[in-house]
Amino acid sequence: MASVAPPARTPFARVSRDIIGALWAPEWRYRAVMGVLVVILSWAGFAWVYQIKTGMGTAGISHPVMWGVYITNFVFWVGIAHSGTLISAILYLTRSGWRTTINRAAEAMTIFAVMTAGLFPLIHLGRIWYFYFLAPYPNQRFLWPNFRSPLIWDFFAISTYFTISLLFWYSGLIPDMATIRDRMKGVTGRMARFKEKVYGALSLGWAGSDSQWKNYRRMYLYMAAIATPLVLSVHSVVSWDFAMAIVPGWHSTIFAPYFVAGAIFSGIAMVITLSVPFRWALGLEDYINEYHYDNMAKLMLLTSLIVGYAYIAEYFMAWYSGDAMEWESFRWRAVGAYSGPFWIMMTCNVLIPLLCFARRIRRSIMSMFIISIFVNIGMWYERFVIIVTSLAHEYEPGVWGLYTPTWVELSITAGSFAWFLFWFMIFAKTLPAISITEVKESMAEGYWKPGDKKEDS
Amino acid sequence: MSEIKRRDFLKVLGLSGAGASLAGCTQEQGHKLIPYLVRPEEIIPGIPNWYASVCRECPAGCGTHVKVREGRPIKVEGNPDHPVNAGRLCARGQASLQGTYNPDRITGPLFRFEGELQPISWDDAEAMLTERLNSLMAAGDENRLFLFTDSSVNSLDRLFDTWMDAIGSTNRVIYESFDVEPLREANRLTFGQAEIPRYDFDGADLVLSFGAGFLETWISPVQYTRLFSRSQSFRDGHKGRFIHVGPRLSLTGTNADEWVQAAPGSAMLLALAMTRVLVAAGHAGDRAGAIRPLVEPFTSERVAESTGVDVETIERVALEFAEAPTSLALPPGVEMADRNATATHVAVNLLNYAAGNVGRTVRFGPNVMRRRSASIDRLTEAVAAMSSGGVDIALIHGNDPVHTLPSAMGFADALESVGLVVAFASYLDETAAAADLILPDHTPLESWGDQQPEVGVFGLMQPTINPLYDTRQVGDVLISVASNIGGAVAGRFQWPDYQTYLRDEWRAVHRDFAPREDFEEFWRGAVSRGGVWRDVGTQQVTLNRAVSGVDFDEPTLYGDDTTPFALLTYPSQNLYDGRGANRPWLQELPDPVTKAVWNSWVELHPDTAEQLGVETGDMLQVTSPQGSVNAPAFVYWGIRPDTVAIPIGQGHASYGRYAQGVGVSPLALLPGASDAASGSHAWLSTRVSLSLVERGNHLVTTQGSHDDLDREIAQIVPFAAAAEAEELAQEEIRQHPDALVETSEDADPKSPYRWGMAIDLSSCVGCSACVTACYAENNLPIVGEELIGQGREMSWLRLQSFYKHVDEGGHGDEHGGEAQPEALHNGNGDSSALHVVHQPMMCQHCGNAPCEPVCPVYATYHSPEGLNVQVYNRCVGTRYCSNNCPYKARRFEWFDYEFPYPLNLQLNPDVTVREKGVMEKCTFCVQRISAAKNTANVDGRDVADGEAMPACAQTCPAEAIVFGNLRDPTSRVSQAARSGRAYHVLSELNTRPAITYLKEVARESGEA
Amino acid sequence: MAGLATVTATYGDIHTVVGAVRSIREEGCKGIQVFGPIMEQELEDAIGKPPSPVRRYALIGGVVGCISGFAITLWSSFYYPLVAGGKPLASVPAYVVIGFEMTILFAGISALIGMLIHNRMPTVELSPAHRPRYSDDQFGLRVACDSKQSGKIEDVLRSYGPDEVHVDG
Repeated sequence: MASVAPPARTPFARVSRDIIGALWAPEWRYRAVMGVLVVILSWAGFAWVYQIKTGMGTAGISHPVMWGVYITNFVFWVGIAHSGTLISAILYLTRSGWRTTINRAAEAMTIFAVMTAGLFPLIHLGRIWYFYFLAPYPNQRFLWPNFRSPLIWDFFAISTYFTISLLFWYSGLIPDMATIRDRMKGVTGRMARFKEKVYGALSLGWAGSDSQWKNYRRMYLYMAAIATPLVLSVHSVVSWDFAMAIVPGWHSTIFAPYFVAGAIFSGIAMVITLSVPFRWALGLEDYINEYHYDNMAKLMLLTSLIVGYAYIAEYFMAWYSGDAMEWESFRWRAVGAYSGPFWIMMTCNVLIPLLCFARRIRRSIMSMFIISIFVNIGMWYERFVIIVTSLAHEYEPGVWGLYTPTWVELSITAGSFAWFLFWFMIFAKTLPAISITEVKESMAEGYWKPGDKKEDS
Repeated sequence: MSEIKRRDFLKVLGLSGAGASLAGCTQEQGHKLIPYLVRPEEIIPGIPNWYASVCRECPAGCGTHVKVREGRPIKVEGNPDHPVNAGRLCARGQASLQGTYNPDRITGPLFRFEGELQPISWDDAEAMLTERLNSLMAAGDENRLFLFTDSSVNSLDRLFDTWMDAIGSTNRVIYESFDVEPLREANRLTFGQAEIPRYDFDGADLVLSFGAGFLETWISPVQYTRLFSRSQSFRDGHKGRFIHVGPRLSLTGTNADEWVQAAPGSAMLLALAMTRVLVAAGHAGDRAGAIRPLVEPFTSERVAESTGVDVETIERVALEFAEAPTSLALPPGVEMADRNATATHVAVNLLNYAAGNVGRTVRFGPNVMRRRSASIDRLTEAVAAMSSGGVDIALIHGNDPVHTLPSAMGFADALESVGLVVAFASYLDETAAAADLILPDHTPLESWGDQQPEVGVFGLMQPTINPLYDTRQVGDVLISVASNIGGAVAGRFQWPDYQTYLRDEWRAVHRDFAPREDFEEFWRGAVSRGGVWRDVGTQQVTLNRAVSGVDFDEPTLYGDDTTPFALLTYPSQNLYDGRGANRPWLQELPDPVTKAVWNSWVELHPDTAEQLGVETGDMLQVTSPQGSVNAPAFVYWGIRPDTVAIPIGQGHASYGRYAQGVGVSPLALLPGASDAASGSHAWLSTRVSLSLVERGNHLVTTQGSHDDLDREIAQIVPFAAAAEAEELAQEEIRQHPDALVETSEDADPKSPYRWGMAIDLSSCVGCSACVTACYAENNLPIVGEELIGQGREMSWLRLQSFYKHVDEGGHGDEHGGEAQPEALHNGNGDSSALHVVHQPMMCQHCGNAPCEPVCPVYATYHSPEGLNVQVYNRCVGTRYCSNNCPYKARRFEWFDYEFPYPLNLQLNPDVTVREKGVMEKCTFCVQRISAAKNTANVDGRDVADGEAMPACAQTCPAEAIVFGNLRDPTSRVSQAARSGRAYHVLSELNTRPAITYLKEVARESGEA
Repeated sequence: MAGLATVTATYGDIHTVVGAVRSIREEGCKGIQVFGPIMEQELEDAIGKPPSPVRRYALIGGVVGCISGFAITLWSSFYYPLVAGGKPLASVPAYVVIGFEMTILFAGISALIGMLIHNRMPTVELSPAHRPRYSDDQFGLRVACDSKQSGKIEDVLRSYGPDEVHVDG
């Protein structure tokens, strides 16, 4: 890799070389994947335009099921967005060493997942051309949003979450940017000069002096400290979109913790799903290995148990409360028209993750990969089940109805995955996908070094 | 002001109004608003003018007030002074606007040239007709001229007679699809009165019906509904009892306290047997002697077996009928008219007579006015004459025989061999489509005219809009043709136009009513009042000898053992005989019983369905000896297993975009049999077989489940419980007359109003007039069958019906959330013990509205007057409010919907036409409230009780909906809200609705 | 005459730097500056500079955010009073969410701003003392002292086996 000369004489330098060496120079398979993503994206874009021009009727949502796949996707992607900042912030505060190599990618995932999730409240608006009515902006009529509405809470929570996550992620990148900048100094060629300028600008002129480090590490600590309650609040707020409503099956106090656990659950799963092909494609097998999957599996197992408990608790409460409507809603959820999605959810989220009790499976990257995919599917269906089945069977039996998504909704859903992966692929080739600095730190602390698959954890 | 002036300004208004409407009521830019340069007198832009007229959607002749804004009629409401409907109107009456604004109207005279209908000028058209008539008269073949008209009694009818007489033809055929001839004939036989009496439902403590759909289409449904609910709904501690006898629960039947499931065609025997019981029990007094010989042979035992009603029931019902303080028995009406209809009517007459009802609840004197309608034999003759080429000219006005006569009679084919078929039709219905010359008539809203629905009632119609198209009133055509013919004929038609003729006709009425008054005065008064009327005394009648000649044979049905099911064809309450099918409001209006839209269906009992392995929505083939039709099944517990029913009205081969190809017409199955004595069409005359054609969901219905799962959404209590509760409530009201049901936080404490509504479920009969009134008032779009199938109907007000058992708590019973109660699916449920509760459901305008706090942009919030308002301009369409509405009363604009010209002219300028992507719902007709407040402000007072009234409350024929100010303890709504039967739907959610429902009351046998 | 001198040494391992820094401070020399790809608490303590002011930024930001969050919600609902769902205009429990999110947002942003201000970032020209490898695998220890001391300091630094040492001034 000529572009990353000078050659590495020391372990530190080798780390820099490995990680930076993975950047740029996209191979054919990278280009191919991008091609496919762009095609899907443009198809979804067409579907969206069609929906805006023709009306929401092009989607399957209807009376009484006014929310469907769009809100399902919204909650799903917000959930995905939870792993990143969680792994970084909470594990940083708890000084869990195994975060070092995955937090950068996880944070990136957070950013892109929020970018995806943020689209859906817009896509599902009846009159998207007035979306700015939701923002608290001064206007001559002094119309302000209704701060009592959980949707406005969402607006604040999600935008705050996006901003803070972005800053947290970016400030983590600053020293690495400087590293790239400085390594470019040793390289000839116009491309190298260009990169030196760009990454130099991104590094904001980081010199790595001790006083800079002092302020920097303080700042990073506080970021982590405030990001932690933020992570917990965001999905609580999302859950209140439902819990604050009086719909049977939604109106439940367990929702906040239940959704947060679910979010972390799906987030970790998505980290696993992405990191497996990613470590292989970038040749970073030494940096993300069994040791990390083992730990992620444990976290996933824990959250899976919490979620499973929540499912059961919901049913217990529905029965124990003696509320006929609540009970009918849950009874119908399990045996009614949507029992399929319900049992998919149960299998993928509660049963399959139990495999993670087996250490052999935790440390088998392939099986973790497969399990994580099941979890992703299960968590998508969880949101679908909660939203659709509850709305389909509400208080008024006279207006019960069913919902099936249309091609528009499905195309846009597919598009959201393409959109997310598109940004992630860009990230993987332009920014150090693993925190160079933190790897070096843990090496200096003698805590962990590349290639180390520590048994303990 | 003379009518010539009126015409002039209507012209101006028509134009400017059209302009204004285009600019005012559509999304597109660039339409020009045409201002008034010189404001026509009587017109203030933005202030409606009201014109009195008469509804011509059915023969009942209800009086109407037409609301006209800038020259456009935008709403039709009942005329409060009119004796027939007292200000109320049914769904069909509301939809009469869509007759005038129908996009498929014929826009000018048409002539069939080389097989195609080509436009032609009026002069040529009339010249052609004149020329044909001349040659006819020259040849002395006057009787080769036929004139088909409807049976209403009015000046036009007399003009027809004069005209035919002048031409010299005796072949005027008066044809009414749903005639009353069996009743007329029965009355002639029984009482020597060939008349249709007044039925005083309001005076009847016990109503015993043998099947007449008097709340739907029979004779004068709006009047009957009003009178019926007066005696049959729970009012100050009293409630009558209604027993429905027949094979099917029609909408009328669903309002019964008891359903006697009698075999089809068994009404006569039951009536006779009951009369016999009644006489035997000595309730007939001195009338017994005359009756006994007639009914002697019909013992309950003999009758029980063939009618499927056990002896005990027959005798119990008979005695209840006799012992009730006042009672009224009703004949089978149209749907049950079999080949022995007259005899059946006679039997019912005897029952009434024996019970002493004749002269009390059945009153001759204030009779219903109808021309005698042609018998099936007469029509068959006419068909024969036509097909044998014996007819040169057939003029057809006011009905559509090709569609409304049984296909078996071959009317359509017969028309082909007629020299010249002339249709005075406004739309291209089946008959017009077969015509050679179409001379489009004005619609009633564009016409001068009158109507005499009852003795002593003269309704007067005036034009409310300048004719939209190049149409001409049939009367004018006849007059000008007559004068073209010249000679003696012209001599008898001295009037310049129909309008003058009408005025002359009314000179007779003038002499009759106010001979001393100046005619101009009288005329102007009559025009503005909508006619003149007076009470008519009751005429005493006695039993007629002729009655002994009536032979009470059991009617038989055509068909053999390959056709196991009796076919019941009943008039659709929305479409009448099919004339309503081109009004999109009526197609979109769910059938009150099945909640099905835009279609026909076959009703069959769950047992039958189980045998055939059929479920609601599967496509069935119904085959009779005459032919077969395909229609989706509707599994309905309210019909006997040996009977299937198909509504009349759909299945148009022509008649415009909204009617064509929708559903099927059961007339293809009927043999065209007739009732022996009266010659009237025997609708119940054949048997059919069923076979499954295709599975699948071929029927769109709007209600999810008819079982409210004991959620107390629709509540029903036994009479005793209701009476007890009412007593306590009244005592409470006496003690605290000024107590309010409303608490201040539900509206701004400073506001004098909190608007509220009370809906009495025991009054509501489920006719759904309110729904269509809402469509008309609030510019609700029509979405069609497919979108309704997706749950996207836009109706702000839905009429849902729940099937309930009565117990002390007034709760329903527990069974699964199926479309119909489980117990009824497998047939072993005791369906006669079920009660149907009809419940209008709309936005409840909650004090603690769940929809409000979840809206991110305040698009919905609570107004100072307690209304839950929706700000269309602010709405971004998150639809969160709808999710959070426990009543699911909100509707979302999924698309931009079209109002094809000229339907857009009907749009109410006071109500926004919503854009795609916004949420909407019932506003309590806030525009009408504002109007009332404006009037009050001008007089410097508060709005008086009953001054502000939403469209639904205004039109409700059963007077079930009361609207008013909950802050005024004396208002009717406050009083109603304190009733012992008052409850709020889903009150456990503490939404504090502004709508109070009053529980349905079931009065079981023996309860008093 | 005695002037100021700067002694610079580069090391490959952070722990040696810690040792070196400690002994320099025993020499009573204050002007210590360290560059490197990473930093550890141990080293920060050894250098012993006063705690970072960034925390104040975070605190103030948080307080401001919290106040403004409640201010906007309460003010707007009273300025244009609209009743929704029969709830009081000041629906404080609902507004807590807004207040909380604003607290987080402002605290985070101001912490970052604080860091940038006190690190004199962003900037285009790096400190002259910076060398490319300082961000890769080398630590630079820079001591500013009286030229008389410089020899002594140099010896101390050499005793820790640096990759290179040189003195200017």
